[in-house]
Amino acid sequence: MLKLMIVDDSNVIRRRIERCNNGSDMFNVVASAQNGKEAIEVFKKVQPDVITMDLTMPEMDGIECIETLMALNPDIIILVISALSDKATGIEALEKGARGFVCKPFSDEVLMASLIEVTEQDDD
Amino acid sequence: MLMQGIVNCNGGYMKTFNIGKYKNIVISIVLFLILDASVLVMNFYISFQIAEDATSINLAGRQRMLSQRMTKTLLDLDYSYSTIESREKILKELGASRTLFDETFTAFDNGGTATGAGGNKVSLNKAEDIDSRTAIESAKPIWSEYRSKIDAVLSIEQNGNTNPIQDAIVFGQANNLLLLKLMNDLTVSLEQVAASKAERLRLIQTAGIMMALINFFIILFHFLRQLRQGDEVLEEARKETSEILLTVNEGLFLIHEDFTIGSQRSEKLYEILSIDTSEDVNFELLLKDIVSDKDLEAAQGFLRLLFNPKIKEKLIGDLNPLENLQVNIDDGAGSYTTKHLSFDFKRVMNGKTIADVLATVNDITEKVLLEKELENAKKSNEQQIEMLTSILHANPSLLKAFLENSYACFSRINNLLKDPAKTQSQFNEKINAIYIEVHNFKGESSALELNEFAKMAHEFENNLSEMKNVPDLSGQNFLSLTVRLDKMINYAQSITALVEKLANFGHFTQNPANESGKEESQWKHLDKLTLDLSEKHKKNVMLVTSGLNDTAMPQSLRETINSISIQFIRNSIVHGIELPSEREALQKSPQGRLDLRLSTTPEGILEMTFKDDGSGFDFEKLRQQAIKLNKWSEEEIDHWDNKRLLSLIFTPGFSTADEVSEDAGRGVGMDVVMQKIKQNKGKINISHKESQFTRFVVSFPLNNATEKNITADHFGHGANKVA
Repeated sequence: MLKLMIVDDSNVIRRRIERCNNGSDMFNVVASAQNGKEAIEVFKKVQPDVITMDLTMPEMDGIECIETLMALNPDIIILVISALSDKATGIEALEKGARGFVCKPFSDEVLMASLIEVTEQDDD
Repeated sequence: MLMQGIVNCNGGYMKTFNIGKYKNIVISIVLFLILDASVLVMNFYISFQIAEDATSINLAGRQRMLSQRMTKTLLDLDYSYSTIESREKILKELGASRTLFDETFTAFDNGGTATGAGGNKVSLNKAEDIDSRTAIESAKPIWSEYRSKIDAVLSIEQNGNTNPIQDAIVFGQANNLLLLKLMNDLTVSLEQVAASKAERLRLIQTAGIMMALINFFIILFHFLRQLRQGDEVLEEARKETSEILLTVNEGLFLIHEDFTIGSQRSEKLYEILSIDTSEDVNFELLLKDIVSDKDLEAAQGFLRLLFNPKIKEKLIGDLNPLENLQVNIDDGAGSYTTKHLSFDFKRVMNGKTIADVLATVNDITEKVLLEKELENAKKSNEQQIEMLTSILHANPSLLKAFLENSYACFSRINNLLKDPAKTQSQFNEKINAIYIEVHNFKGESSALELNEFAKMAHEFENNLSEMKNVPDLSGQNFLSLTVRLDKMINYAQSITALVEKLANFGHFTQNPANESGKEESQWKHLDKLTLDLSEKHKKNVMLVTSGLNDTAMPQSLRETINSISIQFIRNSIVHGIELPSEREALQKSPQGRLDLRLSTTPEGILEMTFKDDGSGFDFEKLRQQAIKLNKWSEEEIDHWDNKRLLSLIFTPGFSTADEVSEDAGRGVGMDVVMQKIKQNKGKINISHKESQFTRFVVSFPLNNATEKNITADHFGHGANKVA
């Protein structure tokens, strides 16, 4: 079972992702963070396998957070979950090392399918 | 989608090896090898046989010679008694000849080894053919006897007895020729066998070569046929690809990792992107001319993601920056065509490697325009609904009056548009006159909550404002106004038609009581206007009216009062009444108050009093605005008193509003009021107190006698009574 960490400044979204993974036999939500800075700290402690990452957050935004996380562990799997106000930012996040993008708002099915897809890619 | 026949996008290029189509050629090659090997083996075998036969022939020939030599040595023995040495030599030679002949003969007869010409031992096969056997069998008794006689010579000679020599010579002379003949027959027979074998070998070789040649031609035929079939398949595939690329409605092309575009491109691509080159093109260069730098950068980033194997293709579709792109394409004639393009990208896999990216581009201009059209249709529907709602909420008699006024107003605007004008000042006068009409119409529309009309009128005013800035006006500039006017007329006609339809269902049936006595509903829209404008300008204002229902007046005057009231209310809310917070800071009630009162004097004068408890006039602002008008010098304006400054509010184009909105800013409000007053031969008094109130008192004569007395001065009696 893969350790999942949720990074989003909205507690509604955090709860939503957590709820989606309740009872999942693939992902176990081990931690969540409200901003990039907190995410780095929590990451060091829990060493998750997969991270869902918002882009627009206070303190440290998603792009900077992805950059830092990739420096800490280049193999970390990051799935960006963000509103699509600016495609260029989404592209930048993926160029920094994230592996997939899910647009807000999203359905439970899309989220789970995307998490499975993004984690399966290493076995391709 | 369309390219799946050509490229297997999911599974990569087709790599399945089908042995079926190579079966014939494989069989032919195997056959060729077997045949070659067989001919080779046969060759070896028969060559060996021929070599054996040559030895046999050679030894058979030696038998001939030995048969003669033995007779000769016997004769030599007979004549050679002279020396013992020579006899011994002859006997030795006879013994050797006898042994060699016998050994060879036995080998021919039964098979075995014999001494070859070089003294070595050679293996001889048993002579099997009939002629050889006949010769051997015939020679066997002769040799047997001859051998015993020679043996007797050899053994007796050792004992010194000479009789056996004569015996052997007699036998030898008698059988010598026969033995020679028989050995000759054997030789000939062996030669024939060898010749027969050589002939067979030639036949086998010829047959082998022929078969090899046939096989070679079969292989060649198969190979050429398969080559041709392969070429045909390739040609067919190329033809199909060409047909697809010529026919598809999408621009199709491959993008390599270095962003260059593949040479196979659909014909439509050239049309969609308006390019005419078939040379190597770089995708970035292609985009550079038609999209913004930001879009180009995003597109480059997106393509890099597509070539990054770590990125999951399914999870980046939402990020395609070229999904719906507005581009300006140079049509080559110096102007640009705006198109809406939609690019789609899909990885082309070669096994697990990303080989290329298949790009599809569609011209979605029509779709986008259709969507816009639908949006407009939706808007139009909303307009209709709004129109219906407005009508249902409107006072029937007011609406009727409004529509009648509107048509009259449109007619006046139309006449103004038709009026010939040549000079710039004539054009400006024309614009100002139209302004007044449109502004008045806008006010009345707002008062009746006919927002679509108000919006159209506002846009009309925008157009007029723009025209004011045009240095060299001509009749052409007014064409757009006729379109706008037409639009308003159509809308008014739609409302009229709708009103008529509704009348059939019982709505808008005039109630006589309403028409004559219950007039309050006719002024109710002023409350609505106050409420709407207050909300719009974030103010809190109430309208208090009195005498409106009690004062009798002609319909024309009622409309004038209505029109002026609307203007006053609008001006007060936009300019006069402060925001609630500002009012509180001034220790005033957060709610502003407007008073509208109608009364009749004993002299037959209808007095309309309008008062607000707002900020009053800001004379410094009036002065600044006057300077901005550039009509008077600053020095002149500095000398103006408040009365003169106040008179500015009736100047066409004068406004103190900071921004143009539907409700203020054009400077067309108070000049409309003044025009209405003039038309009804009335006059106006203004009084105000800074931060306290502004009051307008408008007087109209109710009968002709009074009219004559009042027309003298439209502005000035008691005007600007600054409190």
